[in-house]
Order: sequence, then structure tokens, then C-alpha cells
Amino acid sequence: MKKLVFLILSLVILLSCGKKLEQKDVFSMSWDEIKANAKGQEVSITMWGGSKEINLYFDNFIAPNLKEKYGVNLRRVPVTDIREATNKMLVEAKAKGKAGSVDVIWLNGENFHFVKNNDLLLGDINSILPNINNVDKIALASDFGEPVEGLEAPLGQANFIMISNIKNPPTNTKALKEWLKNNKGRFTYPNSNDFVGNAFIRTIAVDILGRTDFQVEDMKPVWDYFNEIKPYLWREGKTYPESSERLSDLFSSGEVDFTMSYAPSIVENKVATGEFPKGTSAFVFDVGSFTNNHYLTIAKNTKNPEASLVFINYMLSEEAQSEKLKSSVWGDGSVLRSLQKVYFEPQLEELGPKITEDIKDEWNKNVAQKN
Amino acid sequence: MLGIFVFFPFIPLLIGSFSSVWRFGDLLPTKFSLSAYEYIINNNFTLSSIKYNIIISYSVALINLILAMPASYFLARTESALKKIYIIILFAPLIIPPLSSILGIHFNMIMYGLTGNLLGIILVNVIPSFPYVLLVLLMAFRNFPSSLEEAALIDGVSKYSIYRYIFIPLLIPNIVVASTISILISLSEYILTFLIGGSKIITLPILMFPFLSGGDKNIGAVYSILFIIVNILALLLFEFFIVLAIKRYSRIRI
Amino acid sequence: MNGIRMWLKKIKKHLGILPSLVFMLIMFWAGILNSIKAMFNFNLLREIVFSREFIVSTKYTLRLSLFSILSVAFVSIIGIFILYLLSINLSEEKLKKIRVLTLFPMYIPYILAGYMFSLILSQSGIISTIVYKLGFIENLSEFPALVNEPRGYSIIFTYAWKASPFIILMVFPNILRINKDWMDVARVFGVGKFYFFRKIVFPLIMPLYISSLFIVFAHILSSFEVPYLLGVTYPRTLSVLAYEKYARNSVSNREVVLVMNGIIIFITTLIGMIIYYSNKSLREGTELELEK
Repeated sequence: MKKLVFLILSLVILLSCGKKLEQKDVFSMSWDEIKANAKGQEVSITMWGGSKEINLYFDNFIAPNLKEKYGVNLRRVPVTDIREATNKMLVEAKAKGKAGSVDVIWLNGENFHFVKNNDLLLGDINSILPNINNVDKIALASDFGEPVEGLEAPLGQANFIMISNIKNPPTNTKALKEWLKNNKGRFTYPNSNDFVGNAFIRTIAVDILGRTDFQVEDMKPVWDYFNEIKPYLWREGKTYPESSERLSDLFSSGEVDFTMSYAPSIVENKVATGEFPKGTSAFVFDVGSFTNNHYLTIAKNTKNPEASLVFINYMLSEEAQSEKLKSSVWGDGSVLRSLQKVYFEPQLEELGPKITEDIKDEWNKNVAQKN
Repeated sequence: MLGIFVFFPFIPLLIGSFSSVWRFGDLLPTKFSLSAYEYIINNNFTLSSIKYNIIISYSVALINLILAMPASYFLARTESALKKIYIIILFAPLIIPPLSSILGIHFNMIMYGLTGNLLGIILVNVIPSFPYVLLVLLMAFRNFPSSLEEAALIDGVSKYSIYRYIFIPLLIPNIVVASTISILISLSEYILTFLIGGSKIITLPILMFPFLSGGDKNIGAVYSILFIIVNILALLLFEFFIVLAIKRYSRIRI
Repeated sequence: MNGIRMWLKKIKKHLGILPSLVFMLIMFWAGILNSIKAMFNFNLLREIVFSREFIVSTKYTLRLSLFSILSVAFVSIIGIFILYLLSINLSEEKLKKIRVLTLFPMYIPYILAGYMFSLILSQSGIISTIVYKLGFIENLSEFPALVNEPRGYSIIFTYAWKASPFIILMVFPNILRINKDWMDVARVFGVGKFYFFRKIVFPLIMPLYISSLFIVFAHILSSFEVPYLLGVTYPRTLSVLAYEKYARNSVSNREVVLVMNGIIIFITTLIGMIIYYSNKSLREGTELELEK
């Protein structure tokens, strides 16, 4: 009996000696040292897994090139919602000294805010990456109003656009209201918890309030507007699609005439596959289009910091960025100064994270729950 | 007629897997292509994820059966004041919402050093499936006439032999049902496997779910079909082997 | 000396269940310990329970779950009866094949099932198109809204489709056994099939049927994927509400989530106890009847 207890105890102790994290301090190494260490290492990129094009880009272009040029093996880890991964990072960080399962992660906005404030990131990686000098300064400064402080490296650019296949779509709130009155039930927007829906609400707010520095307390006229147009919306405004993807489903199946997105390339791509009807095009409201960047960053408790850095540096290269720009591949805006084109004018800078968060609750309270 | 009710939601899925455009007013999609199938067949992960899924679900089913057999016997036959507490301990996962348990389990698994490896995933998948297996076997034992084992006991047969020659062979249909449920649950498990598997072990649900919620519908449809086929094959195969194994183990002439 | 021997004897008696207990305790209960502690945060509890959002959500959840479980009960009883009729005439081999087929909905995870139903039942779905082609409606908005609407029709439908095979699966081996034992006796007495089902088979499977229904009910209460995909923005079910708070990503929200889940557990346990005690009396009553 005693032997059994002893056996179990020693087993438990043995087991709990998990993977200890022995991390070299990459901030004190030269870039050549980092490259040398990275050879033969494996790095994982945790990213949204629902796009065939993006997956193929990483699997068939980036991964082989990375292996050939730097000897680094890339592993793609698909997630349904990046918050699953950031929550995982939070739990793993609590187990101090143990290696985490995330190396490089693709995120921005509120998710960056989350990992930054919970101290889950490696550090000022932008100071080490050689290719960072070619990157547009604005992308390096702030992410949805949250100062980047070198913690994440820009990967690409997104613009908020409206999409429709009707001629002369409304481009401001007044025109929209008119159009809605004549076309009952043919328009809706994702609810405020969704990235894109939130951006739409903000766009309307900028139009109604005439400025970009408002607080959520100033938004009463905005809520009034949304409540006024309710009866003319899809499902009479009693429910809203959970996400922009659901809205696009409604658009492609013909239930509504509009959708919206942060990825302008989806128009060309989906018209090509036939998902969007011919003649669908992107347009922007008069007040402008919210523009933001998405980033790559490295988790603090990664086992492979050198390979992560080499990988991110490669993503900032001309080769990787120009391939990404192609519509047939991904169609994502570039962050390199040399490749940048302005797609949609005027460009609005994203409002801070606080207003985005506040809108989530306030829209729910003042619009969704009012019946 | 029963078949229609069971199958009809599946048909649009099947058709949808060949196309990405299906609008209102069209009885059939307007464009057909095999691109989604191509993508999945060429993907490196597809085969390995299926392999992992099967290894995981079979191991989980076996562990469940081994644990649940004596446990359900105890609950069905033995008198004990502690039974009520035992029932709460063992059946709790059925009524506790996953969000409450997942965070704590994940943290503990890290502490136990069981993340990022197959063993950890297998163990953690036992948690949601074990109560169901236990339930099935419990019901089986309740309806099992105790006269048989009493007679055997009187004859001096050892407990182990009773299991081997009486319980297990006679309970084959219930064992099949129990393992079916276990395999179904562990094959569909997403969030636990994702959290515990680290980034090392990718299963079919992990590949499939991003496409279902807001991703490419075409690919989602093909993955779903693949998933269903894997399910059916895994179940049939397991049933075949376990029945075979039991019959040999208990020396029943086939 | 004697005490130790008695103690050892006791352990030996419980030996069978010991591994399962140890496993569950280490893996599961160790994990939810923190959650349980958090549930007793009484201030937070009061704040949440009396918020308008919560009350509306609770009422909605209970109503929706009730309708869902009733439809599951209804569909599964029909399924059981059909299979029962088949089992009398068909061989065991054929029955097995049919059973595998009927279980088809179980091979599909809830998210997938919800997704499939949203494809079929939406206003731009295939059923709507068929109705349109048949001339009953002029355009898609005339087709009733079954997905993403407050009554939760598609949710109820999905649950009915997916959970009924589970109930049938649980109950069916018993039906086979009952048939074997009692059918011949019944035939001798000239009892009809339907009468046999009503008076004998059904009461005998009742406890298992009710227990399985309860398990499904508990699952419906705590799962969020189906109402999330097929439900409405407002009101939301408790589980979706909890999930949203969780997904908002701030650590303080975690406690709110745990409290909400605690309330769900409480409701489930309450209903479970009610069922347990009524089941007990039901079972005793049936056994008395049978002896007659």
C-alpha cells in the first residue's frame, strides 16, 4: 500500500516537470546569431483558418521559401476565433516558466490590446527586425488607437468598405435612410460585437456627429438614427447577423442588397467564384473609410523566438508582401512604403479601443434591446 | 420514410460541396467545381488529422470502457451510503457548462505537464464522454439479472472470470452502444483538443470549424462530408474489432 | 487491528469504482474548483440576477429549452414506436443496419447540424426555393423566417433532429430485451401491438426515457453553439450571454461568466432533483403494476 502511494507521488512529480522554458535573450543577440539559431527550428503561426486563399499562401508560398532561405519550418495552426488562442496564451502564461504553445500569432485591435495589457508578448521586436525600416510609419505607430511600442510587426492593411451590386448606392446617412424607406428589408448590418458591424456603426456616427473625437456619451443622435431606420431593415431590425460573414451569406444568397467588409479583395475574389453577383463593387461612405493594419507578434513564452523573428522578418520582405498583394493569392494591402497604394479615400484612422468597446454595450442597450 | 427525415438536411450539404453559388430561386447551384475537394485532398494536414482523430477516439473509448465497467457494476449492485456522492462526482460533466470547466482543466493540464502531447488529449477527452458510457453500462447492469452471477459465485467462480465469461459477452450490445457514444463525442470535440493539443496536434474539427463559422462555405461543406464519412467508418471499424476481441477473449464460438 | 481490517475490506468493496473516481477527481473536479469558488461571490450574484438583461434571458432560455425538449420527446417517441414495430417483424441483422442509419444525426456535431439547418430553413434556402417554384410565394421574404428569429424554430428543429436519435439509442436495447421476454406471453394472451407498447413497453422504458431526456435537457441549457448560430441578437439564451461575456476578453468578465454558469447549474440541478424524485415513484408504481 505504501509502495503504491510512493509510486503515484513520484509519477505526479515527474509529470509536473513539464517542458521547462529555457529562453535565450534574443534582444542581446545580433541578427546573424538569430539567423544561425533559427536554422532547423520550427515556428508555429496561429491564425484564423477559414480562408482557403490565405491558408494556401502560407502553406504553398511562404513555408517552402522560408525553409529554403532560412532553414525554418513553418507550422500553420488554424483557429476559428483568434480569441481562443489569446485566451489560451493567458492561461499558459499563468504557468510561469513553462513553454507556451503559441509562437507567432496574427492579430490586431482589441486582441492586441488584450495580449499587450496582460503582458503576454515577447517585447519590442520591431527594434530587432531589419526589414522594419521599409515599413510605413503610420502602421508602426498605433493599432486601433493602442500604441504599438514595437510589440507587433505590421503584416497588412485593411480598409472598411461597403459592398453592393445596385447602381448608385447611398453614400451618406441621409441617402441611406431614403433608400431604406424605398427598399424595405433589403439592408442590415452585423451587430456591434462584430469587427465590421462596429466599424459600420462608427462610420455612421462620424457622419451624424460630424467629427471623430466623440465619446460614447455623445452618441444619442446616433442611437436615434438606428432606431428610426429599424422598421426598414432586414427582419425589421429585430435581429442582426452575428458576423460580416453571415451578412455576406445573406448578400450572396440574395436576401439583402448590401454587405460590408474590411478586406477589399473579397469583392474581386467572390465575383470571380460567382458568390457575389456580377456588377458587385466596393464603395466608401463620404466621410471616409476606416483603415487599419493587422500584425504579427510573438508570445512571451515561446520556445522558438529566433525562428519567430526570422519568419516575421521574411513576411516584411518585398517578396512576401508583393505576392500577398496579388488578388489571386490574398489581395491584402501591403505595409511596405514601396508597395503601398491608396485604395479608398478619404482614409479615416481608427478610433481608440475604448470607444469601440463602449459601442458594443451601448448599441445593445440603446438599439438592439429597444423593441 | 424515416430515412427521409433523417437524411434530408444532409442533401443540400452534399450538393453545396460542389459549388459556391446557390441562390434563392435556383433549385440547383449555378456553378459547379471540384476546387474545394482539390484543396482538401492536397492539404498536408488532412490525412494526419484523421489519423490523430482515430487514435484519440479509440483510446478514449477503450479507457472509458475499462473505467466504466467496474464502476457501473458497483453502482448497480453494491449497497453503499456513499453512492449518491459518487454519482455526483462521476456524472457532473453532464450538467456543468463547458465554459466553467475548460479554463480550470486547461490550467491543471499545464501543471500536470500533459499539454502538447497525445496522452493529454486522450485523457481530457475522456472527461466529457465518460458519464455517457457509465450511464449506458449502468442501465445495462440494472437490467441484468443478478441470478446469473449469484449462481456463478456459488459455484466458486472468481470475480475476474465472471467479468470475462459472463458480463462482457452478454453485454456486447450495450458495449457497442457505449463505445459508439464515446467515439462520437471525442471525434467532435473541438475546444478541449485545441487547448490541450498545443499547436502540435491538429484534428479534423480544428481544421473544419473555421470554415463553418464565417469561412469558405464550399470547403466547409466538403470537410463536413469527410468528417461524417470518417465518423461512420471509425464507428463501424471499432464495433467490428471490439466484438471480435470480446468474442475471442471470452472464448465464445463465433 | 480489527479497525484496519474493516477499513481494508471497505476499500476492497469500493475498488471497482475507485479508478473512475480518482480519474474524475484529478481531471475534472480539480479543474472546476476555482469556478465553484467564484460562484459564491454574492455581490456579483445579486447584481447579475437582478439585471434586466439576465431576467429576460432566463425566461427566454427556459421557454426555448422547454419547447426544444418537448419536441425532442415527441420526435423520439415516434421514432421509438416506429422502430418497435419494425423490431417485431424484422431480423436482428436488418434491425442493426436500420439502427445505424437512424443514428445518422448523431454523427454530426451540433455546430454542423445548426449550420445545415440554417442552409435549409433560411429564407434563401432550398425549402424556400421549392415553395417558390411551386408558386406559393412571390419572393423570398414571404417565406416565414425560421432562422434567426425570436421564436427559435430552427433551434428547436435542430435539437429535435439531433437529440432524438440519442434517446432512441439509449432506450432501444431495452425494448429489444422486453420484446424477447414478454412478447410471446403477450401473444398468447392475444394482446395487440399497440396495446402492448402502451401498457408494457412504454412504462418499462419510462425511467430510462425520462433520464435520457433530462440529460439532453441539461445539455440544451448549457450549450451555446446552436442558439448562437441560429438565434437572435436579443433576447439571447443564458449560455450565449455567458459566452459573449467570456469572448469580450477582459479578465473581470470571467467572474461574471462563472456566476452565470453557476446559475445554469443551479437550474439544471433543481430540475434534475424534481425528475429524480418523480422518477422514483414512477418506477415503484410501474413495478407494482407489473407484479399484478
